[in-house]
Amino acid sequence: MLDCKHATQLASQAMEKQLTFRQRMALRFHLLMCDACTQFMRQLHLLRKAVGQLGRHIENDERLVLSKHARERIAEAVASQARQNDEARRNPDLDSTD
Amino acid sequence: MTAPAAHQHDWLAEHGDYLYRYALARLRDPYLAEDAVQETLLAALAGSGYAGKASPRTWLTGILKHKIIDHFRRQQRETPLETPEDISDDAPGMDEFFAERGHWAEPPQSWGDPGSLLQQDQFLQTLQECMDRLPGNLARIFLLREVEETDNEEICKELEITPTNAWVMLYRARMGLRKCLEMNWLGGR
Repeated sequence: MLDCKHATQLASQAMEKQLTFRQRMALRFHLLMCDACTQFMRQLHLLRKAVGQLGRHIENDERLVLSKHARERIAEAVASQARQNDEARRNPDLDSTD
Repeated sequence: MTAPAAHQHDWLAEHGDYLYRYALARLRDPYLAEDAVQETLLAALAGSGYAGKASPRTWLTGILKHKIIDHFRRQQRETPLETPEDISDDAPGMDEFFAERGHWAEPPQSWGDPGSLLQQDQFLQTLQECMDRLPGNLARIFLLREVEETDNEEICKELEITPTNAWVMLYRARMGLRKCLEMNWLGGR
């Protein structure tokens, strides 16, 4: 007989992959008799939904923008890299002569 | 300072904030997210360039995704797991959840209607705080799994860990999160 500790482990694994037939049966049988683990299983599904939603909230929150400072820093890094690229292109054999 | 070529300049202006939010949703740290955007734009510049097959935004997001996973992998190397290969009965850190003979120490409670729960800012905010409190490597793998929707096999490959390690960590992350939510959200209601 599966105890709650092992039932929760199977329940968590079931979020990742298909359990074996024997595991599925053991978990199902345990859940039939155990309210606590049934709640746990519901909580896992809710957590998955909520965490996904939280991520999408951040992605869609247009108030979240690069700070002025970060933007300037990135612009400078990009510009500097672009200059290097241009120079390398203009002097393809710079490495050998320099 | 010379201006960068027009198209490169546009990438930061047009996609910078989008990329930042994408990174923030996964890294949950403004400074790390800024760095990831910078690395992405630099890599975009250094590589063979935009081939025009996908939209620039999709292309840049693809680069960013790799940068984020690189970051996770670096962190994973710097602070490796102390997780054992399996969850045996004497695995550390699990006893707090279960009493003798594998029974719940504090049985999970009903969280109410899922639909309305997901509408509640307070619930989502508490969840965020609970995620911030998870140990670094647990938070990392959990985000990778649940926000990035990376499957287990890929997580293992990217983070260079075994499948058993991966699911032990995910199990612990989930156990920790739900406990934290019951204490701080249900308890505070």
